[in-house]
Parts: sequence; structure tokens; C-alpha cells
Amino acid sequence: MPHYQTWEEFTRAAEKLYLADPMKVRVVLKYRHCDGNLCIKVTDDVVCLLYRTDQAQDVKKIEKFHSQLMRLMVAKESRSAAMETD
Amino acid sequence: AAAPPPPTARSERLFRFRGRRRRRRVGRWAGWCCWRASRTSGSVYITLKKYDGRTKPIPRKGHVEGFEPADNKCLLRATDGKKKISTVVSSKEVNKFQMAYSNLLRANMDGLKKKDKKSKNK
Repeated sequence: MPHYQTWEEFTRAAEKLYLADPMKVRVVLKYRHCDGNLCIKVTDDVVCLLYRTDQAQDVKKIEKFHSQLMRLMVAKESRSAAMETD
Repeated sequence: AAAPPPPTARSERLFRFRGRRRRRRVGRWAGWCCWRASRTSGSVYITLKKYDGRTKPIPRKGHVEGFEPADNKCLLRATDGKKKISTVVSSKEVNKFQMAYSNLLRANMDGLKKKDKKSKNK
């Protein structure tokens, strides 16, 4: 269950995991306002990738990534070509 | 005997999802105000996964007849540990949903540390 320290590594691994089997992967966002942290998890029930943060600047990145994954999921197979990676 | 707690925003306005069809208008889902109730304690979980439109479980033997897996939907769930709501977003609604959804996330996930040196406008 790797905890990623850098955002870029996390997104690369997460994209790879999703593209390997889109139906198996789920993305979970956990936000705790009282502790001031946000955690994003991408898992296919075999591998679990985690990224935790308490920095406000990461909220936008995480939210954008979440939206990108959502778009990938609703896009038709033939059109889900390259993802824009930041 | 202690007086009952005053009705919170959560109890008044949370959507009643149990036992009902999951589908809700995306605008209402995005306007969900459970965030407010979870600010003093607890977590908010949001789950996103690709959805192929199945409404029946897969039987152990054989397969469901007449089921065409859809390719353009995703399922979103949100919970604060007590109540859970969910919605299905398809490619037709994704733009509208994402606008409302991003605004909702950014507006509510504001309890994180800000960097001192850089000035953040939003």
C-alpha cells in the first residue's frame, strides 16, 4: 500500500492502474476538516495507492485529477486517449 | 433529562437515499450540504468509480440476459459516516456536473494549511 510523497509519482501510478482495468478501479477522497487533511486513494482491490496532504495548494491538484479521472470514466473507450498530465 | 439537540442543517436538508432509486439530479447532489455538519468532527468520503449501468447483481451461474454494459457512466457516492448519497453521471451531464462539483469541493475543502510565502488568491 504505497504512500506517495510526491504528487507526480502518485498521478502516474494512478493513471497506469486505472488504464490497466477501468472497471475495477475506484477513487476515494477523504477529507477531515477537524484535522485539516485530505487523502486521495486509488485502488483496484489488489494495489492501493495513497496520497495524503494537509496543504491547501494540493486541493486544486487533487480536485483536478479527480475530475480528469471522472472524464476518463465517462468517455467512450475509443476516445480515452492520452490524459493531460500536469 | 437533556433537551433534544436543535435540528442541524444536516438533519433538515440531507437527501433521503436509503431504499430509493439512487439517481438524483446532479445539481442537487452537488449542492449537498453535509459538509457543514462535518466541520467540527468526522470525515467526508467521496467515492468515484466507473459504472456500466447494471441494476441487477451478477448471478453465480451464467450471466444476466439482455444486459448491455454502458460505457459512459460513472458512479459517485458521498458519505459522512452516517448518511450516504449517490448519483450516476453520464457523459451528457459530466460538464454541468463537474462545474458544480469542482466549486463545491474547492469551497468546502478549505481547512488545509496555506503556504505563508506565496499569496493564494483563491
